[in-house]
Amino acid sequence: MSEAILHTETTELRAPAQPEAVASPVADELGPENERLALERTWRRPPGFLGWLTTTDHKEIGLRYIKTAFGFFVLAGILALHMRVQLALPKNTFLTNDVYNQFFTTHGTAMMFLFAVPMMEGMGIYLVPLMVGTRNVSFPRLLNFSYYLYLIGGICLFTGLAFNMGPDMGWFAYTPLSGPQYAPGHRMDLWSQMVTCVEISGMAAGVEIVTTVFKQRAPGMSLNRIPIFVWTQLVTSFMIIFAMPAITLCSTMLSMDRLTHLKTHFYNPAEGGDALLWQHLFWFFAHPEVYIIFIPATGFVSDIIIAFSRRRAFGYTALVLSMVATAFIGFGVWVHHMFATPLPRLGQGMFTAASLMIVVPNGVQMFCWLATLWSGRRPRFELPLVWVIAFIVVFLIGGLSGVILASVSVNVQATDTFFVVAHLHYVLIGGAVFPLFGAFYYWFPKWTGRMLNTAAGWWHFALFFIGFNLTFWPMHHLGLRGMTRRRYTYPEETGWMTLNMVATIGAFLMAAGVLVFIVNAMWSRRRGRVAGDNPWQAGTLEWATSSPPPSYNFLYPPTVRGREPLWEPEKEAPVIVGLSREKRQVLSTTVLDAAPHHRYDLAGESIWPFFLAFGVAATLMLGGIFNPWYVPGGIAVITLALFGWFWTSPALRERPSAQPHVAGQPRLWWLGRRGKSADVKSKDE
Amino acid sequence: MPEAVETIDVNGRRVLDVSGLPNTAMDAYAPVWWGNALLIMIESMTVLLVVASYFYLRRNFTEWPPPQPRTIPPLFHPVPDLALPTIELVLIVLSCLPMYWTDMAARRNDEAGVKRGLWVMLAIGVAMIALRFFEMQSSHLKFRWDDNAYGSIIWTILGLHLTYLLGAAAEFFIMQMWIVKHSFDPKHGLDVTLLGGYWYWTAATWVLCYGTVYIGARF
Amino acid sequence: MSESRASDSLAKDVALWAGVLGTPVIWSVQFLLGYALAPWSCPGRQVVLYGVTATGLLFALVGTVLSWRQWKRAGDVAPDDDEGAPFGRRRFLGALGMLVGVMFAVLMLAQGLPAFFFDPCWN
Repeated sequence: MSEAILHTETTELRAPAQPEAVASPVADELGPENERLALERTWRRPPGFLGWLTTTDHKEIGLRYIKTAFGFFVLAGILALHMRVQLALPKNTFLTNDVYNQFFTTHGTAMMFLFAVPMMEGMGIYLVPLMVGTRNVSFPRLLNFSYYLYLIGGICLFTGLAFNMGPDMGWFAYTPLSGPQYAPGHRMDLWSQMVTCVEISGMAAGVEIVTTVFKQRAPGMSLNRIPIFVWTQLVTSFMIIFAMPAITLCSTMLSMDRLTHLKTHFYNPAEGGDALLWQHLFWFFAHPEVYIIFIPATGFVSDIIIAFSRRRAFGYTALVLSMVATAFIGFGVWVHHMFATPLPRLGQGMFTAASLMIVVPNGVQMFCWLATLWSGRRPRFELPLVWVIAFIVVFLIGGLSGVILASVSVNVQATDTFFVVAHLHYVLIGGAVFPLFGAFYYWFPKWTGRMLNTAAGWWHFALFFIGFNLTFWPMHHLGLRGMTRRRYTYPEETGWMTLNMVATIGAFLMAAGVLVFIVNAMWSRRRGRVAGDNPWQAGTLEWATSSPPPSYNFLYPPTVRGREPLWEPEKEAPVIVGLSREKRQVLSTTVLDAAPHHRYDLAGESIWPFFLAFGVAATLMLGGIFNPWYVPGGIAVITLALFGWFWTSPALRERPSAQPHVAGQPRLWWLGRRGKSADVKSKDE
Repeated sequence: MPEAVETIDVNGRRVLDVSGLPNTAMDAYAPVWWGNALLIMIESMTVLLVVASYFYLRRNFTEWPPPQPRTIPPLFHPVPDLALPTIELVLIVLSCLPMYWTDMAARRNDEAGVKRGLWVMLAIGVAMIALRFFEMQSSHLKFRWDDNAYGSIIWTILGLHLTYLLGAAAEFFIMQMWIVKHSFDPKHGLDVTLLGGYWYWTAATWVLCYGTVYIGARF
Repeated sequence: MSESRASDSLAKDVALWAGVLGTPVIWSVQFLLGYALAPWSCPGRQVVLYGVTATGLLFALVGTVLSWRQWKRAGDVAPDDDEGAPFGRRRFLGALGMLVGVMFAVLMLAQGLPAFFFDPCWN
């Protein structure tokens, strides 16, 4: 019985019984070429510097995110090279203790906060709207805001370093070492305000991506047809939303503890505060952050494997299970960073269990990838796939050392040694940077219209892969031989020199690899082989438009009939017509089934988001570093910016073209029924 | 009921004509609703974490609230005063009613009703902020933020909630200004309903904060 | 549009999300409760921890069964095909919820085990 009911309920886009062969009133009255011109006029950004500053195009901002994050990656990598030079020889005097402290802290901070997370957000911002077949993200101005806030935060960190104000307490800034007593001066203040800026920006990007995925998918893209990469971005964005408040809260508390005008005592044991509160709050954020970095990377891996083995994902449901489970469990393992603290052993045992169990979904995912590769068409071993296979190998090693570290007894032995450094670089570089380079080779043609050079690409891969293993494999041994992390030098008698020297050589090989990549990218974006729309014959929607995509993404936004729309063999799915050409309008669809619901007008460019980013950053920097009395002034600026933003948002001038069938019907969802007030109104219409 | 129509255009191509679809939506159908809901999730997480910190810090004290030796005479069980926050609690819970009426007026496209409601809500918002200002005095709370960790956390909880009140009042104000200046339109109607959701959330949050700071300290 | 009709029924929504979101949420409650009660259960009150684990498992079972029924109702075939809404999607959510439910049940079991071996008084 339920079967029959469900069948009648189907919301599949039904063709009318007899398609009318008459022209629809809106379809193509101008012809595609005029359509293109009209859309270009509507969607391109205003000319000049102001247009550049205020742009709301997700492709442009996504690429800016990617380039900026890559810039920070290079800067933080240069710091790492300095550290490796310092450690190559015993009793080396290349860097002083103080500079070394600033370098490793800035290296870690920049890699985690300024490179890895924003890079993944940038990839999402660029790719998600294309993959779900829409023309821009839901809140274009918010995008502009989040980029500038991130940029300002990042610049502040490195400016601080340049003026000998780099943070020097390690990237997790444990209290009380980072508190007012042991860290005088403004180094930590700058760090905590930078973190707050970047995380506010991250949360804005998360909201953006969730809404775009929920409300702007192409008709027909029900939950079970969403591309894996989009799933990863969705899950990651939810993780951002739940994890990042913890860091903004604990870094704000740290600032309040440190400000001489406030002098609160959150982390001050002398006045009833608790240093471990910091560790709890910080790791409640920072462990999920690892997955915020890793899960999008698994999205790259899945999509690349699918494209190169030319078959749909093996175990789509299991892949989604894996990321949902990882995302949740990721919030339940934070204490494994605190095994060396005096917490009850029984509680630690529970966290050990969770830390071990998180391997299960990741294992499931690995087997799905292998099965996809195995059962697909004979894979083409091109660069994106090569990076992905290297990822599988390297990440497996990192995962195994992770299983070792999940055990409390081993963990206590290895805490703060180079074994941990080796582990975290294997999982983070292995888990995020390898797939990321694969993704660069894979999507570079989409961004620029040209392929990256293959020969240079192989050099890049070889140098980076060999260099990576040379650098970080010896660190396992160094750690087990007792070399603690964050030490700026060591005596010769320890016998650590050879392995350290090997690691340093490896680091330079990696750097050479990255250099080859940068030159390759610079060269290829102008002179590379022309790619065409879909150089890899992939199945997802971003390849359905030209490379690079026009400002409006799709001349006719697509609808989909399957998980890999471009591989659908049967009749092609219809395209969407009837959206405004004069306004930036997109089709909004329903959350679960992506049934067409209404036309949604996006906001256009405005200077206010930039102004707001500036106001927020100035409030945090001035108020959080120097004097909290700047905060009221800052709030006035922020309020002004928000008012301006609101005031210039588009109103719905025209009459509603049709009565929306739910507008005016307040849904009292908490009572499970609908209000009645507006039914009368809709009858009047 | 408006529908997207699948048809064939002049070029013989299969198209989905969406020109008949409405150009507004309400509640969970509207993207802005989701943006708002997600921001509320972020803030809920912040509130939960700050309340969790309150109970975490509590474990470090044998007495809660701790004795206050700095006043004359010293206080041995310095619970914060209950009067003002209780008035706030009653006011903010009752204020959900006019907010609900405003919400409904927006759904009926009743411009006069929305304006009336927003004036009332603006007044309530300002009153709440004024009450909070008087509430946040050391004489009522018995501690300054820099006395000890207990003082720090209760000031932070109250301050955090104050920012939500400030945000709401600013929103009531600017929304009212817009509607007075321009006329009411469905998009801003949606905004008013979202503002309603935010206000209900602010009220619920105050119930939690009140329970933590004022009732929690008494047990 | 039937989407709105389908999601009007709160009961249906609950069943739809019981496994996918329900069991992880139950896990997090069970986990936090267990972690918070661990020091308190010293000495000799471990039975409370067993109770927390057992209750969590029971709820996980309910979530898993609800999801399984969703999947059954939506066609009971392998969830990996990409048929469209609402069948494919229901089947997908049902199967996903079932898998998530089992995953988190095992996780709860794993996290319940230390209480049998460790003395809660051991710091």
